[in-house]
Amino acid sequence: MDTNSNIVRKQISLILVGSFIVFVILLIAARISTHNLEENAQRLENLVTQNNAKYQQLTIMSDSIRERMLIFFDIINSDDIFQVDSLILESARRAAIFIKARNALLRLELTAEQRLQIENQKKLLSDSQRVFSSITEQVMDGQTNISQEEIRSVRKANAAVLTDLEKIRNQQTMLGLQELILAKEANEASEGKITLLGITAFILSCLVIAFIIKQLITQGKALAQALHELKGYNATLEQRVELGAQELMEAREDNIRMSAELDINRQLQQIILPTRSELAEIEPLDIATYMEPAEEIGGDYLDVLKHKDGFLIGIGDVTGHGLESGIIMLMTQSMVRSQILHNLDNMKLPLGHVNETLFQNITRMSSNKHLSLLLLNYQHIKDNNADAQGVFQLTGQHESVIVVRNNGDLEVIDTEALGFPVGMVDDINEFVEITQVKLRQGDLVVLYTDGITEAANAKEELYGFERLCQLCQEQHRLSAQQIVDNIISDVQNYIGEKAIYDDLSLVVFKQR
Amino acid sequence: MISIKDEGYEINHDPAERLVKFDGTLRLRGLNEYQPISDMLDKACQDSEHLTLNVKSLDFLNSSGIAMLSKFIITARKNNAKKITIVGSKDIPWQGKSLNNLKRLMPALELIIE
Repeated sequence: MDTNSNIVRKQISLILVGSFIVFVILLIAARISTHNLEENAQRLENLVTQNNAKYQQLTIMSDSIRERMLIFFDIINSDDIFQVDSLILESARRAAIFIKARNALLRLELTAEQRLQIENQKKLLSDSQRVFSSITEQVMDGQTNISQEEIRSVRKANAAVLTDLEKIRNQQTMLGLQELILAKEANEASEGKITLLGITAFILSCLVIAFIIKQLITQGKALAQALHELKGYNATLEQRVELGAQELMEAREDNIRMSAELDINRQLQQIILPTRSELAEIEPLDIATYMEPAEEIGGDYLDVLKHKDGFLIGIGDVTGHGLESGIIMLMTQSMVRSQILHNLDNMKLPLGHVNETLFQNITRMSSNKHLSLLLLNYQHIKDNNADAQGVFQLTGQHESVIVVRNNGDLEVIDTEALGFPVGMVDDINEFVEITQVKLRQGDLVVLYTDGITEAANAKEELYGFERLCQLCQEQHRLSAQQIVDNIISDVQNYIGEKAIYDDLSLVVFKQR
Repeated sequence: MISIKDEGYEINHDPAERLVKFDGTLRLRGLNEYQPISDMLDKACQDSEHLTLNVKSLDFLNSSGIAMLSKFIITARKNNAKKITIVGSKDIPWQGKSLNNLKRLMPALELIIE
């Protein structure tokens, strides 16, 4: 989601930056265009102003000359001396106006030629003024025969000045026209520039927009990719949920199957256990057994088999849990029972035989289970003078055997060297050993599976071998059944509310 | 370094040190699931005359795992020239009896319990 909002943010900033760049380009183009046009307009305006000013001064100058000519003729034709005096004054005023206008004209922008013409006029005008003054003096003196030659020269001079002024005016008009043409050309050039600028701005804007579109498409693709991936994740998630549901269903089925297995296993373990009446037949011993299957059932093996010379106790623990373990336990029971018919004369043999047969079956089952198996063959010693009333041979690798003597002494028989896990390798004969223990009256023997010693409390602390030994020592004077009951209740007290993980199996017997 | 890793366990074979080290808890189901580990051990054993298996940090090994190790040792003992050392821990319950049984399968095996 972060990636998506980042992409959206990038797109917005890209559009903003792009728009800003287009705006700036257009603004610069517009600014340059208006600047060019303003320049042209200014030039034209200057031209018009200058021309108007020049025309104005030129008109004033021409008018003054004409007025003076009229005044001049009035002076010549007048015989009233006062009128002549006022006309002379008027003429002088006109001359002043003329000079003022000429000075104003000279202050304006003039071509060198125009200036020269105006300078040349000065001599003409001063000559004309001199003649004019002499004629007016003559008139003032009352002379009537004024030289026609002088009058003509004045008129001629004034006409020449007027012609010059007209020339200047015409020249100015020509200049104005030229300027106009130049301004028009400048305008056309500006238009060209503006068009070029417009095209450039347009192309630049297009490039910016194209860049933005390209970026947006790229980002859009990234977004689409992200969405696609998201959909993929969703699909995977859905798939997982589906799988989860499927697994749940399978787990439920497994549960049903397992509870069915559990029932079968319970029955298997229970129906094959020695009955109370069988145990009661074993007269030389006070014997009691206990088997409590765990919630998740294990594969504990426990059996007491009577034979012609005594009886055989078997105890073992198949690795793992479930039906397979139960079946291996059952097979073990049958195989051990078959051994008592032939092999008890040599106690080294039964374990190897059971292993060999079981290994082949386990291999056929494609199973990797094996079991610890301890066989205890008891024989009663009937000779009252003998130093013991019973003797047993022990073979197989299993939990240590606890013996508490009548006087309370504890003996622990480590069985590790007596055998090997059964069903794991094809031949264990080389590892099988026998140990023999004599029993006197009141001696206690306790066999168990690790369900007892490894029973754990809420803190996951194990019940332990030492605790079991101590309890056996404390209670060795009680009956076998009482001892079984006390051990089981002690273990159950110890684990408290916790479920038992493994089967609890126990065989307790005492020499009578 | 060749490794097999999954949830809860890790096995590393360092050919230079001629060492296979196990860590974690191994609860695979059946020899089929142990096959990759078994293959790794066989390969490691073929590659050198002397191989050390360090299981000091292997907190739990189920019965299939013990069966797998036993089969490996049975194969290895057929070749007298092979020298196998197993390093275990006295503090881990499964190791005591099981490692001793391996030693019994192959007396030439050097078992170091630390």
